[in-house]
Amino acid sequence: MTPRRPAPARAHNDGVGTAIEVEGLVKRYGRKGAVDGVSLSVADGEAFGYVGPNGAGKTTTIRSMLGFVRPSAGRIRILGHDVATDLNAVLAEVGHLPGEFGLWPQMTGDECLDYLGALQRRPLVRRRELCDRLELSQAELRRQVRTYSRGMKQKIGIIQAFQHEPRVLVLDEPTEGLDPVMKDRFVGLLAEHRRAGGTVFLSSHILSEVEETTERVAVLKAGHIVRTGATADLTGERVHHCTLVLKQPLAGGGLDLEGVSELESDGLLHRFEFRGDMEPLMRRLGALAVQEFVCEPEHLAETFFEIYGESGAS
Amino acid sequence: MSWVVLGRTLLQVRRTLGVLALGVGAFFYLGLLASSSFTKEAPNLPFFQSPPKAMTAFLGGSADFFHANGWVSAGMTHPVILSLLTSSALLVSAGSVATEVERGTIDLVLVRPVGRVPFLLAKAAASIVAVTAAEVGGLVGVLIARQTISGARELSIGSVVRAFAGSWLLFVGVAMVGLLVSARSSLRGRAIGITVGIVVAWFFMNFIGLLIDGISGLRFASPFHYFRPIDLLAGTLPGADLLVLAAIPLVALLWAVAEFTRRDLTR
Repeated sequence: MTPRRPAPARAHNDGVGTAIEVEGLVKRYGRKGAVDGVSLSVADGEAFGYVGPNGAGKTTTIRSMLGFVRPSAGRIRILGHDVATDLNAVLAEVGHLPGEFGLWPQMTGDECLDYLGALQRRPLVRRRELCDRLELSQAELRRQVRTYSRGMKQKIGIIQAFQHEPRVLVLDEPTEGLDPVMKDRFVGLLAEHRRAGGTVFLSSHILSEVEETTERVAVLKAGHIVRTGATADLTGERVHHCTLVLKQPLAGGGLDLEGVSELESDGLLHRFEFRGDMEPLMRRLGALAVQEFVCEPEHLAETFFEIYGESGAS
Repeated sequence: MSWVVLGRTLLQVRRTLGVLALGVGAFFYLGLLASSSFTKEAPNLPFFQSPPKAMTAFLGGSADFFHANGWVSAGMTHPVILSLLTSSALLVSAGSVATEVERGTIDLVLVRPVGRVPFLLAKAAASIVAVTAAEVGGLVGVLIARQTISGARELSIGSVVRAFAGSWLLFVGVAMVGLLVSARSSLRGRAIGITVGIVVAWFFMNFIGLLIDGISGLRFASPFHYFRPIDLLAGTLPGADLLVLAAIPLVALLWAVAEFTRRDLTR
């Protein structure tokens, strides 16, 4: 097993600085608006999820943050540097894994990483360790990348994003093509980056991954952010599906509590949905003869669809 | 300019470039070897003493089959040489941006503190190196022919170098136009197609302008009009023509920089 990297001491993870600040970002291609008034802020050391359906504007936001596209309006600052005027200072501190990227087919994996490392102009302190952890052997690295599988190319993509120890990681669909073991290792790498004080901006359509790795999340739809909040808060807001089995019939008004809805009773079996603070419910259950109580929170995916549906309806 | 991008780009095209340079050199040598036979047989043939206008126009305005300068000049405007030199000019330039955008590699390069202008200047420098290598290949072919073929001994080294310098200016211009087209494009095939189309249009504008008196003014719009190897070899090409040849790559490069720095990099 590869030893875990000790977290380097960094002073910037004091929780008070802003790593990424997007204000009123607008991007139009001709008459078509890709992003319309997106504003968000990611604290230094925070992991931020950015979710939304295809075409919502996630990639346009990311490409604006990294200087690939010029915003029609708005301002973006990363680590205090304005992207419009001080892009190189931004890029010196960023590691980026694009959603769709290519490699030079006639180059070997090693040559690709060397080339990209030379362009970064920073020591590639984690290169060896990352290759070991993602199981890219020296023999594989000496092969031309045109012979690589999708997963191997993705590993090269991850290594080039992490190998120079960037302060900010901007990741777009980072686990595309990885097997479950490698996905797990990638989640571990993100956690280490966070512990070392790094910031993560993660765009993904794999909502369980966003839920697992981020503290806050923004939901984007048709170029607008329709919801932003702590991932835990979103969990708290959303519906819990509850099943209650009692030993004795419920007395009148037994589950008449704030937050309970969609109650269906069948003898001693009661099914309902619950939103909000659980404490009153738990107190009430304590006074009943409960044989079994199961309460499952919805996952981010369900919340996402709920938000998306609400927004779509409006 | 990014030296890392320049080095990597040249490394990627080194084999193709070597073959092109060898091809240009071999063509010039074989062309001079074949042409030297005219001095023995051709003077008695009216076709070669007074070639048709179409033939003269096709060879860029002059067709001297009896002197080595004429042979070199005909070689420099021969379609095979034009194709080889155009290929060397477009080898790097036409794909410089378009290929990287199409393949998705530009996302990995320009997310580093490289800068769009240094990136493009590195591609421009690599394109110029590619054209230079092909022209040097041709020059070496002519110089070897000068030493080994009796009819070619009358060639002056200074004249030959001057002619190849003119050709270099013309094809650096082609390369920079390729760079400009590429800087605006996201598809490699389209960038190459458009640039080849431009070069072919230039060639035919000059050809038709020389062939048909009524539209002779058309040739002034073609860079090929300003590249007359026979005049370069004789040292009679006006300085203004060389200035036009020098201005084309400069304007195209500045235009390419302006286009590339303001475009959105999307596929």
